[in-house]
Amino acid sequence: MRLLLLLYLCISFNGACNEFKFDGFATLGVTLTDSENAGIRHHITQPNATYQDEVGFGTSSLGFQLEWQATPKLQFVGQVLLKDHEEQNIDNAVQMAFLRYSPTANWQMRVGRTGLDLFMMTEHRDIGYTYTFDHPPTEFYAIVPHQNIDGADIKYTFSQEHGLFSAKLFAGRSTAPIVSDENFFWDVEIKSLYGVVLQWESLDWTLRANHTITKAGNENEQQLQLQAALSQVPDEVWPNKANLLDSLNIIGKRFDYTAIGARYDNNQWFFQTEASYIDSNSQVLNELTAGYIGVGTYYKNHTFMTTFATAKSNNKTPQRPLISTPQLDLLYNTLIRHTNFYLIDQSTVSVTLRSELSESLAVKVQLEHTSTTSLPSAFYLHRGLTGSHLDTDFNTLGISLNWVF
Amino acid sequence: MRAYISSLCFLLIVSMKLEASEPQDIVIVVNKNNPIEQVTHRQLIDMYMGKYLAFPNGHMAITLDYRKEHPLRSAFFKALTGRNISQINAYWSRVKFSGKASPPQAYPSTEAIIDKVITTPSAIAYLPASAVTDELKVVYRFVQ
Repeated sequence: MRLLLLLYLCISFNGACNEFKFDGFATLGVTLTDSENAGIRHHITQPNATYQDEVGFGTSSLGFQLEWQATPKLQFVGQVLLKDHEEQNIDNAVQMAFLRYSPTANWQMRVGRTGLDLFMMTEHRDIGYTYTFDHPPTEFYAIVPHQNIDGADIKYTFSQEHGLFSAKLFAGRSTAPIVSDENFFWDVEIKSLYGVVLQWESLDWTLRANHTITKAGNENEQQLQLQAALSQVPDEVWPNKANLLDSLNIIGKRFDYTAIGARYDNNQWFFQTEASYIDSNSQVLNELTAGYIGVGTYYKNHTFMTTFATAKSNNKTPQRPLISTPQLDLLYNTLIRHTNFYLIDQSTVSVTLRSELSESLAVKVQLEHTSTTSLPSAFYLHRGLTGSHLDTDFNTLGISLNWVF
Repeated sequence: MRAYISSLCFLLIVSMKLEASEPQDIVIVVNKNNPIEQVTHRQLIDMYMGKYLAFPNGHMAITLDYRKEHPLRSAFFKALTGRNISQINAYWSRVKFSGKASPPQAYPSTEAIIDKVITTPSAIAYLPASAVTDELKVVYRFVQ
């Protein structure tokens, strides 16, 4: 990262100013909900959420991008993004900082910090102007905290009669935070990340498939404390202890992501759909299947869209110890907050209106209804979970102004 | 008097027709030394949407564009893709801010574009048909 910064400083003082571009984007988002227990947020990294009778501004963001065409084949791209983070620092703010080398029209190589090409909108999910949704579907996009990768990629593009086919390979590492209730914070490190993206596109169609394999590189303090406490419990008291200890041991565990997606847009009607399958040898998130489909139409400067999104994991609540003591009950309750973090079975239906106020400013209004079978959920922060009735059906209204400049 | 009014009406109708047709009369030009004789509509889409920056012979192309406020830009992208300029801006924002590609270099005027094409062998640009000079080669013409 320092090397790239130094390179950028060198070339920025050395070259012609007409090859230098500076752009930006901003989103001012407002969230309202009737949810009492589930605090609405759009992403697992967000430290603040919105509850009933509150007005949330946590989805707002501001970003800037610098591009420097050093030579016809070599370019530097840097992007910073300011948004609601648990820890505000330069490393979190820098979304991209990479060198792009394009020796021919067919080949492109990038090295540095690039966007993580995991799902169709992962790389630009914080830039509201770029899509019709008020926010990318929570069930699909909220679960993976990682948005960029420190590494390299190589892409080959092949022109055919009716479209373009491209294949991209990428490798590197990534760090991103997961934030949850009771000040849970884990800067999740993926130390070995390899992926392939195959894509075919024409003016109207985009078809893509992605497969990414990763290995977890760290664990958090709470997991270590739980491991230490659990290891002191006799096996006879808690027969499931070995499995639970294994589930708390994250380092080196495999997490694989497979996704397919399609988008069609004929300038009157459009649809966009994706499906993903997350597979792991960790009990924390053994399997998760998610998908969404959005269908919309254009009318003058307005876009209308309706979306259905769903996600379901195969996580199960672990068995209790055979005896009950205050210490064991406390340990069990703390433990299931960890093992049930990804206990997910929910869906959302939404309707969206996007209106262009100018050629670079759009307002979006989205009303959505969510049904979940259980709370707590990784998607949300929570309040009042000790009550007898949990609010598992709720509505959310999102309004946002989205600008590029 | 009647002849005068008739002449005035004729001139008015002709000038309105010229004004209405002028923005749609767009051609694609390259440097006159570029061996390419023509490009297809689909190849233009690939180039101007940042998907594949190459001429039909495989040589890399440098696409030139106008600044956002230039009126020819909306007409060109409408003719090229059928999309309005807001949709084009949203598309390019998606491509640019995800780091996939950079938009074409933007220039303020037709004169600036012509100067760049003349001095850049691999450049490709769009112009009003009336602005084409002998130092440029027309490789595509939008038929309205």
